[in-house]
Amino acid sequence: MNEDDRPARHPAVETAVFEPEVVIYDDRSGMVHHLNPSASSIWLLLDGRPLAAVIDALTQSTGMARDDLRRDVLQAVAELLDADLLSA
Amino acid sequence: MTGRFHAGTFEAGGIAFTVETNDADWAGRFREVFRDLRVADGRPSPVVFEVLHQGISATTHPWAVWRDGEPLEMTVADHYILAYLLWEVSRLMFERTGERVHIHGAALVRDGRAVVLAGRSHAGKSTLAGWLTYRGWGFLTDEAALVDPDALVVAPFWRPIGIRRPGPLDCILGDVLPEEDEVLVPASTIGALAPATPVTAIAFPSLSPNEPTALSPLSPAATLVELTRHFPGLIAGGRVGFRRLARLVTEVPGYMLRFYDLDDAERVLRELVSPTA
Repeated sequence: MNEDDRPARHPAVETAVFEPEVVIYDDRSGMVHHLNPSASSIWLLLDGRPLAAVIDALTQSTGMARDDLRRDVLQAVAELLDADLLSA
Repeated sequence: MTGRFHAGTFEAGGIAFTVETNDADWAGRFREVFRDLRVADGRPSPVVFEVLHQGISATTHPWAVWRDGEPLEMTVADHYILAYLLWEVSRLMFERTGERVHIHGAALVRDGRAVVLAGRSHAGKSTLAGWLTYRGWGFLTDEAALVDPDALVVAPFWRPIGIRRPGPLDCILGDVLPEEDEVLVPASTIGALAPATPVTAIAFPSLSPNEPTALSPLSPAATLVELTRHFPGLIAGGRVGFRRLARLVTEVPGYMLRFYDLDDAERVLRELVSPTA
């Protein structure tokens, strides 16, 4: 996984947004996932854009250091991929 | 006594059904247990449940059940037949839920406001539903709450309350055989039935013997996650069902209700639905 990758939310996954959290439902498995606020903000940006753009957007909106956000985003994306919630 | 005996017409969530049996005593029990679901005869094409005793040779599981001529279960024991038939009636209703959301839970009314008590088995829902009814709340349903996520109204489904024994509701039960560990009690025998009512809150009760009674608010996201655990139609309803639940929690707040003392639980729920709350 690197910043050029373009993961996107899987089309079988439904998202319910309750700022600052989201709950997602996988229509294939019936599984429901409750994402914490930081994972939620990452999830909502995973629309096929490069991860570099995701990290940049979060850097701008949160004011956090880019390196810290990069680590968080890559870890979150890896976990979402493991859960089969993304189209890589 | 042999022959065919009729019970009904009854109605579950707007669906008419009757029960036919070959045992006169049991026909009477079906009429009594489902008395709150009774409606006028003459509804077009009611669903027909046939509940037939298969004779003295079938000693341990003598009952067989059909729905509109289709076999459902051929080996049901005496002590389970009422609960089984009630489950089938609930299933019938859920199959035809339409746009409504059905939640595994009870629903009670006070001051024109409904609270849905959602939760898994043994969480204390039915006990609390029975107690609230006894304490003057209007009874909408037990175990099967039908909620319109757009109108935000809970529909009545006056099925009997399943009360486990021995338990705190023993004092409000009438004549019950001592060996019965669960009885189905028509709510009208202990309190009042309520019509369709706007839903004010969703509470998730849990029995907590060593802690004080407490009602804790949940975020909409946490409420949605909890509700999906008590939404038997989630898989069948798929993302459409999920969206309906999401709409519901956007409008209706959720709470965790930790309780053990029934009067304490009644008090905090009364405060929750109070018009001045």
